[in-house]
Amino acid sequence: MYSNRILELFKNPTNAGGLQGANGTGKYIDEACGDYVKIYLKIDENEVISEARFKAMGNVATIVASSAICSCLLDCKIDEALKVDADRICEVTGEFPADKVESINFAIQAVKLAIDNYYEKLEKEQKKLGKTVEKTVDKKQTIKNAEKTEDIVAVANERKAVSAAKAAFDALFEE
Amino acid sequence: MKKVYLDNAATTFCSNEVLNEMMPAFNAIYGNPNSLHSFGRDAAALIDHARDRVAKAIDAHSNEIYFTSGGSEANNWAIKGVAYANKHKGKHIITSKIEHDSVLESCKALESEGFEVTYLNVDENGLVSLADVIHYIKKDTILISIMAVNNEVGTIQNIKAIAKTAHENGIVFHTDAVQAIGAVKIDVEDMEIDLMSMSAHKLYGPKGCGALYIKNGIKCADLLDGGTQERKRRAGTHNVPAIAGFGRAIETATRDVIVNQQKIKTIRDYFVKQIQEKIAYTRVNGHQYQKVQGIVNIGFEMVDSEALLMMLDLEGIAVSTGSACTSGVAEKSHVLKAMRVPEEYLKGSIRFSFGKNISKEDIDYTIEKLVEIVGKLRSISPVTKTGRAK
Repeated sequence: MYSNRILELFKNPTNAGGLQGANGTGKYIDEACGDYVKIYLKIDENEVISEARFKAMGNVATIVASSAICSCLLDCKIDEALKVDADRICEVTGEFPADKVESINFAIQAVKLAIDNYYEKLEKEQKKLGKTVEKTVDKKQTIKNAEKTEDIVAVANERKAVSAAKAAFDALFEE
Repeated sequence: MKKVYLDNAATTFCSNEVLNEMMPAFNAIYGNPNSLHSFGRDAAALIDHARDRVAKAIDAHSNEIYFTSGGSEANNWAIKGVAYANKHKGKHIITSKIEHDSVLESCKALESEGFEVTYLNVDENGLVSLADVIHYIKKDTILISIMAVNNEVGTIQNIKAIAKTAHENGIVFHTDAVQAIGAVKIDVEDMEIDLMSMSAHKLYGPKGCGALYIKNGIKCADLLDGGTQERKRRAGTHNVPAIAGFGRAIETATRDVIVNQQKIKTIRDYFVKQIQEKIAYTRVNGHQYQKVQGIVNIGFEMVDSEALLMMLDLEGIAVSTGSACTSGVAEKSHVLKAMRVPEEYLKGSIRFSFGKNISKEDIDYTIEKLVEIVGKLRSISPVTKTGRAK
Protein backbone atom coordinates (compact mmCIF):
# COMPACT_ATOMS: atom_id res chain seq x y z
CA MET A 1 0.00 0.00 0.00
CA TYR A 2 2.42 2.71 1.15
CA SER A 3 5.72 2.99 -0.68
CA ASN A 4 8.98 2.41 1.17
CA ARG A 5 9.78 6.08 0.70
CA ILE A 6 6.61 7.19 2.45
CA LEU A 7 7.20 4.72 5.27
CA GLU A 8 10.73 6.02 5.67
CA LEU A 9 9.44 9.60 5.93
CA PHE A 10 6.76 8.44 8.35
CA LYS A 11 9.18 6.68 10.67
CA ASN A 12 11.05 9.90 11.46
CA PRO A 13 8.94 12.78 10.25
CA THR A 14 10.83 16.06 9.91
CA ASN A 15 9.39 19.40 11.06
CA ALA A 16 7.30 17.75 13.77
CA GLY A 17 6.31 19.62 16.89
CA GLY A 18 5.14 23.06 17.99
CA LEU A 19 6.91 26.33 17.21
CA GLN A 20 7.74 28.97 19.78
CA GLY A 21 7.04 32.42 18.43
CA ALA A 22 4.83 31.20 15.61
CA ASN A 23 2.85 34.08 14.19
CA GLY A 24 0.45 32.03 12.08
CA THR A 25 -1.23 28.80 13.18
CA GLY A 26 -3.91 26.88 11.39
CA LYS A 27 -5.76 23.74 12.39
CA TYR A 28 -7.79 21.57 10.09
CA ILE A 29 -9.93 18.63 11.21
CA ASP A 30 -11.46 16.37 8.61
CA GLU A 31 -15.04 15.61 9.57
CA ALA A 32 -15.18 12.29 7.80
CA CYS A 33 -12.17 10.56 9.27
CA GLY A 34 -11.27 12.82 12.19
CA ASP A 35 -7.68 13.40 11.08
CA TYR A 36 -6.33 16.59 12.59
CA VAL A 37 -3.47 18.73 11.27
CA LYS A 38 -2.05 21.84 12.91
CA ILE A 39 0.51 23.97 11.09
CA TYR A 40 2.73 26.55 12.82
CA LEU A 41 4.42 29.25 10.74
CA LYS A 42 6.95 31.89 11.50
CA ILE A 43 6.62 34.61 8.87
CA ASP A 44 9.09 37.46 8.76
CA GLU A 45 8.58 41.11 7.89
CA ASN A 46 9.18 40.34 4.20
CA GLU A 47 6.36 37.77 4.32
CA VAL A 48 8.81 34.93 3.93
CA ILE A 49 8.15 31.76 5.88
CA SER A 50 11.30 31.26 7.89
CA GLU A 51 10.07 28.25 9.89
CA ALA A 52 7.24 25.75 9.53
CA ARG A 53 6.28 22.95 11.88
CA PHE A 54 3.35 20.62 12.24
CA LYS A 55 1.44 18.50 14.67
CA ALA A 56 -0.91 15.81 13.40
CA MET A 57 -3.17 13.08 14.67
CA GLY A 58 -3.97 10.99 11.67
CA ASN A 59 -2.96 8.19 9.43
CA VAL A 60 0.43 7.69 7.79
CA ALA A 61 -0.49 9.82 4.79
CA THR A 62 -1.66 12.72 6.94
CA ILE A 63 1.54 12.77 8.98
CA VAL A 64 3.79 12.46 5.92
CA ALA A 65 1.88 15.08 3.93
CA SER A 66 2.05 17.50 6.88
CA SER A 67 5.76 16.92 7.30
CA ALA A 68 6.42 17.32 3.58
CA ILE A 69 4.38 20.49 3.19
CA CYS A 70 6.44 22.14 5.95
CA SER A 71 9.60 21.32 4.02
CA CYS A 72 8.05 22.82 0.89
CA LEU A 73 7.11 26.04 2.71
CA LEU A 74 10.54 26.95 3.99
CA ASP A 75 11.87 30.22 2.58
CA CYS A 76 8.73 30.68 0.49
CA LYS A 77 6.95 33.97 0.21
CA ILE A 78 3.30 33.73 1.17
CA ASP A 79 2.01 33.80 -2.40
CA GLU A 80 4.41 30.97 -3.29
CA ALA A 81 3.33 29.04 -0.20
CA LEU A 82 -0.29 29.22 -1.24
CA LYS A 83 0.66 27.58 -4.53
CA VAL A 84 2.17 24.51 -2.88
CA ASP A 85 -0.11 21.76 -4.16
CA ALA A 86 -0.32 17.98 -4.28
CA ASP A 87 2.21 17.76 -7.12
CA ARG A 88 4.75 19.71 -5.15
CA ILE A 89 4.23 17.59 -2.04
CA CYS A 90 4.52 14.36 -4.05
CA GLU A 91 7.90 15.54 -5.35
CA VAL A 92 9.06 15.18 -1.76
CA THR A 93 7.14 12.07 -0.77
CA GLY A 94 6.49 10.12 -3.94
CA GLU A 95 3.00 8.93 -4.80
CA PHE A 96 0.38 8.29 -2.16
CA PRO A 97 -1.98 5.31 -2.42
CA ALA A 98 -5.17 6.34 -4.22
CA ASP A 99 -7.36 6.02 -1.13
CA LYS A 100 -4.99 8.19 0.95
CA VAL A 101 -4.55 11.12 -1.41
CA GLU A 102 -7.12 13.22 0.46
CA SER A 103 -4.63 13.55 3.34
CA ILE A 104 -2.63 15.96 1.16
CA ASN A 105 -5.61 18.25 1.18
CA PHE A 106 -5.74 18.25 4.99
CA ALA A 107 -2.20 19.63 5.11
CA ILE A 108 -2.87 22.19 2.37
CA GLN A 109 -5.98 23.47 4.16
CA ALA A 110 -4.14 23.78 7.45
CA VAL A 111 -1.45 25.89 5.73
CA LYS A 112 -4.07 28.18 4.23
CA LEU A 113 -5.66 28.58 7.64
CA ALA A 114 -2.27 29.34 9.18
CA ILE A 115 -1.63 32.09 6.63
CA ASP A 116 -5.06 33.50 7.23
CA ASN A 117 -4.38 33.49 10.95
CA TYR A 118 -1.16 35.42 10.30
CA TYR A 119 -3.08 38.10 8.43
CA GLU A 120 -5.75 38.27 11.11
CA LYS A 121 -3.11 38.84 13.76
CA LEU A 122 -1.31 41.36 11.57
CA GLU A 123 -4.55 43.21 10.94
CA LYS A 124 -5.25 43.47 14.66
CA GLU A 125 -1.76 44.75 15.36
CA GLN A 126 -1.95 47.28 12.57
CA LYS A 127 -5.35 48.51 13.72
CA LYS A 128 -3.99 49.05 17.18
CA LEU A 129 -1.29 51.22 15.65
CA GLY A 130 -3.83 52.95 13.45
CA LYS A 131 -2.41 51.57 10.23
CA THR A 132 -4.09 49.68 7.39
CA VAL A 133 -2.81 46.28 6.36
CA GLU A 134 -1.49 45.71 2.87
CA LYS A 135 -2.01 42.18 1.79
CA THR A 136 0.07 40.74 -0.98
CA VAL A 137 -2.29 37.87 -1.62
CA ASP A 138 -5.94 37.77 -2.47
CA LYS A 139 -7.56 36.56 0.71
CA LYS A 140 -10.15 34.60 -1.23
CA GLN A 141 -7.49 31.97 -1.79
CA THR A 142 -7.58 31.10 1.86
CA ILE A 143 -9.95 29.13 4.06
CA LYS A 144 -13.44 28.96 2.65
CA ASN A 145 -12.87 27.85 -0.91
CA ALA A 146 -11.09 24.64 -0.05
CA GLU A 147 -9.69 22.71 -2.97
CA LYS A 148 -12.05 19.80 -3.41
CA THR A 149 -10.75 16.41 -2.41
CA GLU A 150 -12.14 14.97 -5.62
CA ASP A 151 -9.97 17.35 -7.66
CA ILE A 152 -6.86 16.22 -5.82
CA VAL A 153 -7.77 12.57 -6.41
CA ALA A 154 -8.38 13.25 -10.12
CA VAL A 155 -5.04 15.02 -10.48
CA ALA A 156 -3.21 12.26 -8.66
CA ASN A 157 -4.86 9.58 -10.81
CA GLU A 158 -4.00 11.48 -13.95
CA ARG A 159 -0.39 11.78 -12.83
CA LYS A 160 -0.24 8.03 -12.16
CA ALA A 161 -1.73 7.26 -15.58
CA VAL A 162 0.87 9.48 -17.26
CA SER A 163 3.71 7.81 -15.30
CA ALA A 164 2.42 4.35 -16.17
CA ALA A 165 2.12 5.24 -19.86
CA LYS A 166 5.64 6.68 -19.89
CA ALA A 167 7.03 3.57 -18.17
CA ALA A 168 5.30 1.33 -20.73
CA PHE A 169 6.69 3.47 -23.59
CA ASP A 170 10.22 3.35 -22.16
CA ALA A 171 9.96 -0.41 -21.70
CA LEU A 172 9.30 -0.86 -25.41
CA PHE A 173 12.77 0.47 -26.17
CA GLU A 174 14.68 -1.32 -23.44
CA GLU A 175 17.24 -3.77 -24.73
CA MET B 1 14.54 -7.46 13.27
CA LYS B 2 12.42 -9.34 15.75
CA LYS B 3 9.04 -10.32 14.32
CA VAL B 4 5.97 -10.66 16.49
CA TYR B 5 2.63 -11.73 15.06
CA LEU B 6 -0.34 -10.49 17.07
CA ASP B 7 -3.01 -10.74 14.39
CA ASN B 8 -4.20 -14.32 14.87
CA ALA B 9 -7.83 -13.25 14.66
CA ALA B 10 -7.11 -12.30 11.05
CA THR B 11 -5.40 -15.59 10.28
CA THR B 12 -3.04 -18.16 11.74
CA PHE B 13 -0.12 -20.17 10.46
CA CYS B 14 -0.71 -23.78 9.41
CA SER B 15 0.51 -26.03 12.16
CA ASN B 16 2.89 -28.87 11.31
CA GLU B 17 0.30 -31.51 12.06
CA VAL B 18 -2.12 -29.80 9.67
CA LEU B 19 0.55 -29.59 6.97
CA ASN B 20 1.32 -33.29 7.44
CA GLU B 21 -2.36 -34.04 7.02
CA MET B 22 -2.53 -31.94 3.83
CA MET B 23 0.62 -33.02 2.00
CA PRO B 24 -0.49 -36.44 0.74
CA ALA B 25 -3.53 -34.81 -0.84
CA PHE B 26 -1.26 -32.74 -3.10
CA ASN B 27 0.78 -35.43 -4.73
CA ALA B 28 -0.14 -38.87 -3.47
CA ILE B 29 -3.92 -38.92 -3.07
CA TYR B 30 -4.70 -36.40 -5.81
CA GLY B 31 -7.73 -37.78 -7.57
CA ASN B 32 -10.92 -35.83 -8.07
CA PRO B 33 -13.19 -36.98 -5.24
CA ASN B 34 -16.12 -37.06 -7.66
CA SER B 35 -14.42 -39.61 -9.91
CA LEU B 36 -15.55 -43.22 -9.83
CA HIS B 37 -12.08 -44.78 -9.98
CA SER B 38 -9.86 -45.58 -7.01
CA PHE B 39 -7.89 -42.34 -7.26
CA GLY B 40 -11.14 -40.47 -6.77
CA ARG B 41 -12.43 -42.79 -4.08
CA ASP B 42 -9.22 -42.37 -2.06
CA ALA B 43 -9.57 -38.60 -2.22
CA ALA B 44 -13.24 -38.87 -1.28
CA ALA B 45 -12.21 -40.89 1.76
CA LEU B 46 -10.01 -38.00 2.92
CA ILE B 47 -12.98 -35.68 2.66
CA ASP B 48 -15.24 -38.05 4.55
CA HIS B 49 -12.68 -38.37 7.31
CA ALA B 50 -12.42 -34.58 7.58
CA ARG B 51 -16.21 -34.30 7.60
CA ASP B 52 -16.42 -36.75 10.47
CA ARG B 53 -13.84 -34.74 12.40
CA VAL B 54 -15.70 -31.48 11.89
CA ALA B 55 -18.98 -33.06 12.93
CA LYS B 56 -17.47 -34.58 16.04
CA ALA B 57 -15.84 -31.27 17.01
CA ILE B 58 -19.22 -29.54 17.19
CA ASP B 59 -21.44 -32.51 18.17
CA ALA B 60 -23.19 -32.66 14.84
CA HIS B 61 -23.90 -35.45 12.36
CA SER B 62 -21.52 -35.83 9.44
CA ASN B 63 -24.32 -35.38 6.91
CA GLU B 64 -24.96 -31.94 8.39
CA ILE B 65 -21.50 -30.63 7.44
CA TYR B 66 -20.97 -28.92 4.08
CA PHE B 67 -17.51 -27.73 3.06
CA THR B 68 -17.17 -24.25 1.60
CA SER B 69 -14.40 -21.89 0.53
CA GLY B 70 -14.40 -20.26 3.94
CA GLY B 71 -16.42 -18.43 6.54
CA SER B 72 -17.63 -15.70 4.19
CA GLU B 73 -19.15 -18.19 1.79
CA ALA B 74 -20.72 -20.08 4.68
CA ASN B 75 -22.28 -16.86 5.96
CA ASN B 76 -23.58 -15.94 2.51
CA TRP B 77 -25.07 -19.40 2.07
CA ALA B 78 -26.72 -19.47 5.47
CA ILE B 79 -28.28 -16.00 5.31
CA LYS B 80 -29.39 -16.05 1.69
CA GLY B 81 -30.22 -19.76 1.63
CA VAL B 82 -32.58 -19.55 4.61
CA ALA B 83 -34.11 -16.34 3.26
CA TYR B 84 -34.85 -17.80 -0.16
CA ALA B 85 -36.13 -21.10 1.19
CA ASN B 86 -38.48 -19.48 3.67
CA LYS B 87 -39.66 -16.33 1.92
CA HIS B 88 -43.13 -17.81 1.55
CA LYS B 89 -43.41 -17.62 5.35
CA GLY B 90 -42.01 -14.14 5.74
CA LYS B 91 -39.30 -11.72 4.78
CA HIS B 92 -37.97 -10.37 8.04
CA ILE B 93 -34.46 -11.10 9.33
CA ILE B 94 -32.87 -10.08 12.61
CA THR B 95 -29.14 -9.67 13.00
CA SER B 96 -26.82 -7.32 14.89
CA LYS B 97 -24.80 -4.26 13.95
CA ILE B 98 -21.53 -5.92 14.91
CA GLU B 99 -21.64 -8.91 12.59
CA HIS B 100 -18.87 -9.67 10.12
CA ASP B 101 -19.19 -7.86 6.80
CA SER B 102 -20.09 -11.11 5.01
CA VAL B 103 -23.25 -11.25 7.14
CA LEU B 104 -24.02 -7.53 6.90
CA GLU B 105 -23.47 -7.36 3.14
CA SER B 106 -25.56 -10.51 2.62
CA CYS B 107 -28.36 -8.83 4.57
CA LYS B 108 -28.00 -5.64 2.51
CA ALA B 109 -28.20 -7.68 -0.67
CA LEU B 110 -31.43 -9.27 0.60
CA GLU B 111 -32.81 -5.84 1.49
CA SER B 112 -32.37 -4.82 -2.13
CA GLU B 113 -34.48 -7.85 -3.02
CA GLY B 114 -37.35 -6.79 -0.78
CA PHE B 115 -36.42 -8.45 2.51
CA GLU B 116 -36.55 -6.43 5.72
CA VAL B 117 -33.62 -6.59 8.11
CA THR B 118 -33.42 -5.38 11.69
CA TYR B 119 -29.88 -4.64 12.84
CA LEU B 120 -29.87 -4.87 16.62
CA ASN B 121 -27.85 -2.48 18.72
CA VAL B 122 -25.36 -3.79 21.22
CA ASP B 123 -24.40 -2.47 24.63
CA GLU B 124 -21.05 -0.85 25.43
CA ASN B 125 -19.55 -4.30 25.96
CA GLY B 126 -20.71 -5.54 22.56
CA LEU B 127 -23.51 -7.75 23.89
CA VAL B 128 -26.80 -8.27 22.09
CA SER B 129 -29.73 -8.00 24.47
CA LEU B 130 -32.16 -10.89 24.53
CA ALA B 131 -34.90 -8.40 25.33
CA ASP B 132 -34.12 -6.60 22.07
CA VAL B 133 -34.27 -9.87 20.12
CA ILE B 134 -37.69 -10.62 21.60
CA HIS B 135 -38.87 -7.07 21.00
CA TYR B 136 -38.11 -7.15 17.29
CA ILE B 137 -39.48 -10.61 16.50
CA LYS B 138 -42.48 -10.33 14.22
CA LYS B 139 -44.88 -12.79 12.64
CA ASP B 140 -42.90 -12.73 9.44
CA THR B 141 -39.44 -13.14 11.01
CA ILE B 142 -37.77 -16.13 9.38
CA LEU B 143 -34.14 -15.90 10.49
CA ILE B 144 -32.06 -14.64 13.40
CA SER B 145 -28.31 -14.46 12.84
CA ILE B 146 -26.00 -13.49 15.71
CA MET B 147 -22.27 -14.20 15.78
CA ALA B 148 -21.03 -16.38 18.61
CA VAL B 149 -17.83 -14.40 19.26
CA ASN B 150 -17.07 -10.99 17.86
CA ASN B 151 -13.88 -10.85 15.82
CA GLU B 152 -12.87 -7.33 16.84
CA VAL B 153 -13.39 -7.30 20.59
CA GLY B 154 -13.84 -10.98 21.48
CA THR B 155 -17.20 -10.61 23.25
CA ILE B 156 -19.07 -13.91 23.62
CA GLN B 157 -22.78 -13.68 22.85
CA ASN B 158 -25.53 -15.56 24.72
CA ILE B 159 -26.13 -17.83 21.76
CA LYS B 160 -28.03 -20.60 23.53
CA ALA B 161 -30.60 -18.17 24.95
CA ILE B 162 -31.08 -16.40 21.63
CA ALA B 163 -31.41 -19.69 19.74
CA LYS B 164 -33.98 -20.94 22.23
CA THR B 165 -35.96 -17.72 21.82
CA ALA B 166 -35.82 -18.10 18.04
CA HIS B 167 -37.20 -21.62 18.22
CA GLU B 168 -39.97 -20.67 20.61
CA ASN B 169 -41.13 -18.37 17.82
CA GLY B 170 -40.61 -20.84 14.99
CA ILE B 171 -37.59 -18.95 13.64
CA VAL B 172 -34.39 -20.41 12.22
CA PHE B 173 -31.20 -19.50 14.08
CA HIS B 174 -27.77 -19.06 12.47
CA THR B 175 -24.52 -18.17 14.11
CA ASP B 176 -21.19 -17.12 12.63
CA ALA B 177 -18.82 -19.15 14.79
CA VAL B 178 -15.64 -18.40 12.85
CA GLN B 179 -13.95 -16.84 15.89
CA ALA B 180 -15.67 -19.09 18.41
CA ILE B 181 -14.40 -22.52 17.37
CA GLY B 182 -11.48 -23.47 19.53
CA ALA B 183 -12.10 -20.56 21.89
CA VAL B 184 -15.39 -21.66 23.43
CA LYS B 185 -17.04 -25.07 23.63
CA ILE B 186 -19.56 -25.44 20.84
CA ASP B 187 -22.27 -28.11 20.92
CA VAL B 188 -24.78 -27.38 18.20
CA GLU B 189 -27.32 -29.78 19.69
CA ASP B 190 -27.17 -28.40 23.20
CA MET B 191 -27.06 -24.79 21.97
CA GLU B 192 -29.97 -25.40 19.56
CA ILE B 193 -28.08 -23.96 16.61
CA ASP B 194 -29.67 -24.53 13.21
CA LEU B 195 -26.85 -23.25 10.99
CA MET B 196 -23.28 -22.40 11.85
CA SER B 197 -20.37 -20.96 9.85
CA MET B 198 -16.80 -22.12 10.40
CA SER B 199 -13.41 -21.34 8.93
CA ALA B 200 -10.16 -23.30 8.88
CA HIS B 201 -7.59 -20.53 8.78
CA LYS B 202 -8.45 -19.20 12.23
CA LEU B 203 -7.58 -22.59 13.72
CA TYR B 204 -4.04 -23.15 12.38
CA GLY B 205 -5.57 -24.61 9.26
CA PRO B 206 -5.34 -23.51 5.62
CA LYS B 207 -6.96 -20.50 4.06
CA GLY B 208 -9.70 -21.00 1.50
CA CYS B 209 -11.65 -23.62 3.41
CA GLY B 210 -14.56 -23.55 5.78
CA ALA B 211 -17.85 -25.25 6.44
CA LEU B 212 -21.51 -24.60 7.02
CA TYR B 213 -23.38 -26.75 9.49
CA ILE B 214 -27.02 -27.16 8.42
CA LYS B 215 -29.13 -29.09 10.87
CA ASN B 216 -31.10 -31.88 9.26
CA GLY B 217 -34.58 -30.68 8.45
CA ILE B 218 -33.71 -26.97 8.17
CA LYS B 219 -34.79 -25.50 4.85
CA CYS B 220 -31.91 -23.68 3.19
CA ALA B 221 -31.69 -23.01 -0.54
CA ASP B 222 -28.47 -23.81 -2.37
CA LEU B 223 -26.46 -21.05 -3.98
CA LEU B 224 -23.84 -22.75 -6.14
CA ASP B 225 -25.21 -24.76 -9.04
CA GLY B 226 -23.20 -27.22 -11.04
CA GLY B 227 -21.78 -30.60 -10.12
CA THR B 228 -22.97 -33.03 -7.52
CA GLN B 229 -20.48 -32.24 -4.78
CA GLU B 230 -21.60 -31.86 -1.17
CA ARG B 231 -24.67 -33.99 -1.73
CA LYS B 232 -25.61 -31.83 -4.73
CA ARG B 233 -25.86 -28.76 -2.54
CA ARG B 234 -22.61 -26.91 -3.21
CA ALA B 235 -21.01 -27.36 -6.61
CA GLY B 236 -17.28 -27.13 -7.18
CA THR B 237 -14.39 -29.57 -7.09
CA HIS B 238 -13.31 -30.09 -3.53
CA ASN B 239 -10.13 -28.49 -2.26
CA VAL B 240 -9.05 -31.82 -0.88
CA PRO B 241 -5.76 -30.77 0.79
CA ALA B 242 -7.45 -27.83 2.51
CA ILE B 243 -10.41 -29.91 3.66
CA ALA B 244 -8.09 -32.58 5.02
CA GLY B 245 -6.17 -29.84 6.84
CA PHE B 246 -9.37 -28.32 8.18
CA GLY B 247 -10.45 -31.64 9.66
CA ARG B 248 -7.20 -31.97 11.52
CA ALA B 249 -7.17 -28.34 12.60
CA ILE B 250 -10.65 -28.35 14.10
CA GLU B 251 -10.03 -31.64 15.88
CA THR B 252 -6.94 -30.20 17.54
CA ALA B 253 -8.50 -26.82 18.29
CA THR B 254 -11.57 -28.22 20.01
CA ARG B 255 -9.79 -30.93 21.92
CA ASP B 256 -8.26 -28.71 24.60
CA VAL B 257 -10.36 -25.55 24.63
CA ILE B 258 -10.19 -24.92 28.36
CA VAL B 259 -6.48 -25.58 28.74
CA ASN B 260 -5.59 -23.46 25.69
CA GLN B 261 -7.76 -20.59 26.84
CA GLN B 262 -6.14 -20.68 30.28
CA LYS B 263 -2.66 -20.44 28.75
CA ILE B 264 -3.62 -17.51 26.55
CA LYS B 265 -5.43 -15.86 29.45
CA THR B 266 -2.19 -15.69 31.42
CA ILE B 267 -0.45 -13.99 28.51
CA ARG B 268 -3.37 -11.67 27.85
CA ASP B 269 -3.74 -10.57 31.47
CA TYR B 270 -0.02 -9.85 31.64
CA PHE B 271 -0.20 -7.84 28.42
CA VAL B 272 -3.15 -5.75 29.53
CA LYS B 273 -1.66 -5.13 32.96
CA GLN B 274 1.62 -3.96 31.42
CA ILE B 275 -0.17 -1.58 29.10
CA GLN B 276 -2.29 -0.14 31.86
CA GLU B 277 0.76 0.38 34.05
CA LYS B 278 3.05 1.85 31.42
CA ILE B 279 0.80 3.81 29.07
CA ALA B 280 -1.71 6.38 30.27
CA TYR B 281 -5.10 7.12 28.69
CA THR B 282 -5.90 3.67 27.37
CA ARG B 283 -9.15 1.75 27.35
CA VAL B 284 -9.90 -1.94 26.90
CA ASN B 285 -12.87 -2.21 24.55
CA GLY B 286 -15.26 -5.10 25.05
CA HIS B 287 -16.66 -7.18 27.86
CA GLN B 288 -14.47 -7.58 30.91
CA TYR B 289 -15.47 -11.19 31.55
CA GLN B 290 -17.64 -12.63 28.79
CA LYS B 291 -14.88 -12.72 26.22
CA VAL B 292 -12.43 -15.05 24.54
CA GLN B 293 -8.91 -14.71 25.84
CA GLY B 294 -7.13 -14.47 22.53
CA ILE B 295 -8.51 -11.10 21.43
CA VAL B 296 -7.96 -7.80 23.19
CA ASN B 297 -8.95 -4.47 21.69
CA ILE B 298 -7.35 -1.39 23.23
CA GLY B 299 -8.02 2.26 22.56
CA PHE B 300 -5.11 4.69 22.86
CA GLU B 301 -6.09 8.31 23.27
CA MET B 302 -4.53 11.04 21.14
CA VAL B 303 -3.18 8.79 18.39
CA ASP B 304 -4.52 7.34 15.16
CA SER B 305 -4.83 3.57 14.85
CA GLU B 306 -3.33 3.35 11.37
CA ALA B 307 -0.31 5.37 12.40
CA LEU B 308 0.08 3.14 15.46
CA LEU B 309 -0.30 0.00 13.38
CA MET B 310 2.30 1.10 10.81
CA MET B 311 4.79 2.20 13.46
CA LEU B 312 4.43 -1.20 15.12
CA ASP B 313 4.83 -2.84 11.73
CA LEU B 314 8.08 -0.96 11.16
CA GLU B 315 9.28 -2.55 14.39
CA GLY B 316 8.26 -6.03 13.23
CA ILE B 317 4.97 -6.27 15.15
CA ALA B 318 1.76 -7.18 13.31
CA VAL B 319 -1.60 -6.06 14.70
CA SER B 320 -4.93 -4.93 13.27
CA THR B 321 -7.20 -1.92 13.44
CA GLY B 322 -10.34 -3.87 12.85
CA SER B 323 -11.68 -6.56 10.62
CA ALA B 324 -8.89 -7.66 8.29
CA CYS B 325 -11.41 -7.88 5.50
CA THR B 326 -11.92 -4.17 5.65
CA SER B 327 -8.77 -2.78 7.22
CA GLY B 328 -7.70 -1.21 3.93
CA VAL B 329 -10.59 1.22 4.23
CA ALA B 330 -10.33 4.55 6.05
CA GLU B 331 -13.60 4.05 7.96
CA LYS B 332 -13.29 3.27 11.60
CA SER B 333 -14.65 0.04 13.04
CA HIS B 334 -18.40 -0.43 12.75
CA VAL B 335 -18.20 -2.70 15.78
CA LEU B 336 -16.60 -0.09 18.02
CA LYS B 337 -19.00 2.55 16.75
CA ALA B 338 -21.97 0.30 17.56
CA MET B 339 -20.53 -0.18 21.06
CA ARG B 340 -20.40 3.61 21.37
CA VAL B 341 -16.70 3.56 22.24
CA PRO B 342 -15.83 7.18 23.11
CA GLU B 343 -14.56 9.14 20.10
CA GLU B 344 -11.14 9.80 21.59
CA TYR B 345 -10.50 6.06 21.86
CA LEU B 346 -12.32 5.05 18.69
CA LYS B 347 -9.71 6.67 16.48
CA GLY B 348 -6.81 5.01 18.26
CA SER B 349 -8.10 1.47 18.79
CA ILE B 350 -5.98 -1.55 17.95
CA ARG B 351 -6.82 -5.24 18.08
CA PHE B 352 -4.17 -7.57 19.45
CA SER B 353 -4.90 -11.25 19.00
CA PHE B 354 -2.64 -13.88 20.53
CA GLY B 355 -1.72 -17.24 19.11
CA LYS B 356 -0.48 -20.42 20.66
CA ASN B 357 3.19 -19.68 19.95
CA ILE B 358 3.25 -16.34 21.73
CA SER B 359 5.96 -15.96 24.36
CA LYS B 360 6.54 -13.59 27.24
CA GLU B 361 9.53 -12.19 25.32
CA ASP B 362 7.23 -11.32 22.43
CA ILE B 363 4.86 -9.53 24.79
CA ASP B 364 7.66 -7.65 26.55
CA TYR B 365 9.08 -6.54 23.20
CA THR B 366 5.64 -5.39 22.06
CA ILE B 367 5.03 -3.43 25.25
CA GLU B 368 8.46 -1.80 24.99
CA LYS B 369 7.75 -0.68 21.44
CA LEU B 370 4.20 0.38 22.23
CA VAL B 371 5.44 2.68 24.99
CA GLU B 372 7.97 4.26 22.60
CA ILE B 373 5.57 4.56 19.69
CA VAL B 374 2.58 5.89 21.61
CA GLY B 375 4.89 8.42 23.24
CA LYS B 376 6.28 9.47 19.86
CA LEU B 377 2.87 9.81 18.23
CA ARG B 378 1.48 11.71 21.20
CA SER B 379 4.42 14.12 21.09
CA ILE B 380 3.37 15.18 17.59
CA SER B 381 -0.36 15.09 18.26
CA PRO B 382 -2.26 18.36 18.48
CA VAL B 383 -4.77 16.73 20.86
CA THR B 384 -4.28 17.15 24.58
CA LYS B 385 -4.69 14.55 27.30
CA THR B 386 -8.17 15.86 28.05
CA GLY B 387 -9.19 14.88 24.56
CA ARG B 388 -9.76 18.47 23.61
CA ALA B 389 -8.06 19.98 20.60
CA LYS B 390 -5.55 22.67 21.50
